[in-house]
Amino acid sequence: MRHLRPLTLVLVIASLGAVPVLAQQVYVYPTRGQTPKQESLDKAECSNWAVQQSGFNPMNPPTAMPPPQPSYGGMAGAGMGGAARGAALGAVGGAIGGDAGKGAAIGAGVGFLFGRMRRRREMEAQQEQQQQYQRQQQAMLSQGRGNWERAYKACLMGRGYTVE
Amino acid sequence: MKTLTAIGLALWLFAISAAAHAAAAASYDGSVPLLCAPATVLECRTDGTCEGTTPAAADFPAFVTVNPKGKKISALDGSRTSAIKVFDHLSDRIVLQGDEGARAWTMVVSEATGQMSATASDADHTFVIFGACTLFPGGSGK
Repeated sequence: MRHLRPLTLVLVIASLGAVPVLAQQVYVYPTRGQTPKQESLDKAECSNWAVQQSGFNPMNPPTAMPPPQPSYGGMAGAGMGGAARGAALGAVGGAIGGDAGKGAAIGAGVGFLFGRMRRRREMEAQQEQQQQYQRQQQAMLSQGRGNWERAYKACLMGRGYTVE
Repeated sequence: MKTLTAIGLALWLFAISAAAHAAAAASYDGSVPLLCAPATVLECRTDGTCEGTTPAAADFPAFVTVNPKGKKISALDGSRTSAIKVFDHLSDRIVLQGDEGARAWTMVVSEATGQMSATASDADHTFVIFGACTLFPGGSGK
């Protein structure tokens, strides 16, 4: 039994560390006379439960997908133009030279010196698209946090805490 | 006799002038690459308006190498390349032309000053680029 006490203490400390920072912004009052140790355990368990319920882990938020890549309008409508044609030619040249990979890499840039120049309106549209994407990402993150927080509070209230 | 001397002198002067002109016109044969730095870019539309911007903002390389012998113009790091289809002289200017998909481009470089202007055009849009070029003997023109 004595051996178990240090282990329990370690687990409590570990679980305390696992409670997200967000939980520390929530004021919790034990209405049933729970000890600080019990409160810490409850917080850790409620945090895990909230992750399961909400599908959102504040300690490990979902990684954002890479933003959409700009398209090059100057090359549009050119059939097999730009990078595709360049890569194909590069690959042929590389294959003859014995290094198809290198040839393809060099070929990827062929036809892009002037063709890749971006129109101002295209740039503005791309910037707007990227900003919109960032707003969506932030909204998703905010919604996930909100769901987790509601689940966390519900759990603590169910265990006899007043949560604000 | 005096008339013949005068005619002879005139012919001699003409020959000297023509030779000098020919020498000047052939001063750049394209065997050595050029290094060009675009400074200003204008974007012109069908409504007659043009807007100034920087090469970086227009997604154009800060330096390009022109390699007439290798028949290509490239970003200095070789990441972007365009084939030179026409290499010619016009008076004391070098003229280069090519095309990329929907865009055709023309570059004119003064042999005397190195001043450069280029256009890249499609049906409803033109980019005008101003800059300067210099000989780039070490440049491979990737």
